[in-house]
Amino acid sequence: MPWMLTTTEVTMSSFSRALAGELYLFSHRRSIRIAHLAVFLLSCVLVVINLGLVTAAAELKGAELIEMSAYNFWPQWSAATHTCMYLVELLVVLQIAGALPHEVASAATRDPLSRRISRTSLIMARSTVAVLLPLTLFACALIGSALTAAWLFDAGDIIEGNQVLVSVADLGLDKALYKSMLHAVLPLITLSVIASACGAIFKRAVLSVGVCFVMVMSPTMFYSDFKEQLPYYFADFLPAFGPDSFLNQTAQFSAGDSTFFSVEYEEMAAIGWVSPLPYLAAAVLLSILFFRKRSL
Amino acid sequence: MVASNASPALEINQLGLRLGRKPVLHDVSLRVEPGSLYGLLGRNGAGKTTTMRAALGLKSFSTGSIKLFSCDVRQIHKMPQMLGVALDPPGLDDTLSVRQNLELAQIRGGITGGRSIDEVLELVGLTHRQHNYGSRLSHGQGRRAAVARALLGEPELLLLDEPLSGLDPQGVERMLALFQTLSQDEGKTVVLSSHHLREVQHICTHVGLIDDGHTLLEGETPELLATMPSHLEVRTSDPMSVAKLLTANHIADVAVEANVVTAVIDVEFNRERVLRQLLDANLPVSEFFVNASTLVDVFQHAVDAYDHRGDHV
Repeated sequence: MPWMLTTTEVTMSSFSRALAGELYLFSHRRSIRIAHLAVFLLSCVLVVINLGLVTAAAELKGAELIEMSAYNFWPQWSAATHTCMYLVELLVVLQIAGALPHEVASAATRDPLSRRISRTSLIMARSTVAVLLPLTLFACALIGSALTAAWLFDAGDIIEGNQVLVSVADLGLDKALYKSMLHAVLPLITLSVIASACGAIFKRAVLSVGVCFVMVMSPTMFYSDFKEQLPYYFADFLPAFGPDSFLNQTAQFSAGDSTFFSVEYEEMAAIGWVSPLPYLAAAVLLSILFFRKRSL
Repeated sequence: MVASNASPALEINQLGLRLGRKPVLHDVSLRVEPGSLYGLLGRNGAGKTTTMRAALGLKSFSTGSIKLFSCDVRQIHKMPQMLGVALDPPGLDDTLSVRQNLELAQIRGGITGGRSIDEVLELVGLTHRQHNYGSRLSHGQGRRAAVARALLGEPELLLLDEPLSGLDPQGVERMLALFQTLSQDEGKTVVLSSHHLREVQHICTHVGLIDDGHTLLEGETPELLATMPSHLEVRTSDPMSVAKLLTANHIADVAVEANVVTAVIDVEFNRERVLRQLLDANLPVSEFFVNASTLVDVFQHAVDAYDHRGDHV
C-alpha cells in the first residue's frame, strides 16, 4: 500500500545529529569566519603598532631611556595577545549571546526540532559548540601576534651591549606566559556557555547581549569598591576584561614590571581553575530549563 | 486512496492553547488520514499557524491532545517517522546559502537516502538560486526553499504552512502538481494551510476549517462541496417557458429576472438531459451554465453561520 509507513533508520542519536549541525554552522557561517580573520589581523597589527610606538619613543626620549625589554618577543607577544583578547571577548558575547534569539525570531530553530532533535539535545549541542568559538579566536590571536612578534622582535634574552639584562629562561618568562594562556581557557569557556545561556533565556538579542556584557563587565565595574566583599567570579579571570587576568599579569611582568607577577600567582591560579565551574554548571542547567519552556 | 482504519497521520483532539493570558485556540479537532492531502483553511488569525506549531511541539498547549502517527507530540523527537516541515516564516538561516541550509537540514535529520538536495531544488524550481543567501531571497523564493527543505529524504508527513503564499502563478501550479504527486503517487500525507481556496479545492482530498480557535467543519472535499447548493443559470428570450420546463423537472427555487432564469440544483441534477429537453422544446436558449458550489461557498457559509451564532463572543 502506498501510504504504509516505512520506519526510517535512525543511525545517529538526537544529540549527535544536533552536534553535527552546530559544527556545520560553526564552520560555514560567514560572520564566524570574518571574526577569526578580524582577530588574526588585529593581533598582527597590534604588534606592528607596538613596534612603531617603541621606535617613536626611542627617537623622542633617546634609546637608552627605553626599557630594553620593549624590544623583546615575549613582552610583545603577551601584550598584543592580551589587547586582542578584548575583541575576542566582545565577539564571543555578540556572536553567541546574539545568535539564538535571532534564530528563534527568524524561526530557524523550528526545523531541527521537527527532525527528531529534542530541545535538550539542541541546546546542549549549542553550548558544546559555543565553547569552540573563544578557543579558536584565542588561537588566532596567539598565532597572529606570535608570528608578527617573531618576525619583528628577537625572542632571546634581553641584552644590552654584551651583558644579559634579563634571561628569559632564568626568569621563566616563557613558561609563565604559556601558563597564563592555559589559565585563560576555562574563563573563556565559561563565558561562551554563559553567553549561550543568555541566548536561551532572553527573547531579544539586544537584551541577551546586554545582560551577558554586564556580566563580563561587572567585576571591573565593582572591583575597586567591593573587591574584598565579593566572591571570585568567572569574569575575574577573563584574559582581557578580567581584573585578575593572568595574561595581563604576565604581559606586565614580561614588560619588566615585577609587581604584577606576584608569588600569589599559584594560589590565584588554583582559584581561577575552580571559581568558574559553578557558573559553567549553572549556565548549562539554566539553558536547558529555559529553552525547554520556550515558545518557538 | 485513504485508509480509514489506519491510525491517523495527525490527530488533534479538543486542542486549547493560550498565548500569554489570551486564549487563541479553544477547541480544535482535526484528523488527518495517512496518504491524504489535507487543506487547513481559515481566516487570518483563525489559528491555523498556531495549530501547526502546536502539532510540532513548538508551542505548549493547555488542553487536548496531539498525536502524530499515534505518537504523543511531547515525544515527537522519539517518533520513527520523518516529518517535513515548512512553516511561516520559512525559518531559513539567513547566514547560509539555500544549498547550505539544505545540507544543514540533512545533517540534523541524519538523512542519507531519499530525495537529494539537487532533486528537491529541481522540484521547487530553485536550482538557479541555490547559492543565494537566505537574506537575499524574495518572499516566494524563501517559501520554495522551505518546501525544498521539507522534501529532503523520505518524509511521511509534510506540514506546510501557507506554501503558496508569495508564489507567482507558475510557482503555484508547480507546487500544486508537486503536492498532488506526493499524495497520490507516493502516498505521503500532506497538510497545507492556504488562502487559495480554489486551488485547494482542486487538489485536496480533505479539508478542515478553523475559525476563532474552533474547528467549524472537517471532511472529504467532495462531501463538503455536496452540502452546498449549485446554481443553474439560463439566459433566454422566453424565460417563462424555460422556468416552466425546469419546474416540471423537479428543480427547486426557480426564479425569473428579466431574461435570466436561475434555479438551485443538487448533485442529482443531469445537465445534459435538461439541456436536451430545452433544445427539443425549441426554446431560445442563448446561455446555459451551472455555477457549481465551491470551497469559497462552503467557507463563507460556515463562517457566516459561526458569526451569526453569537454564542462564541
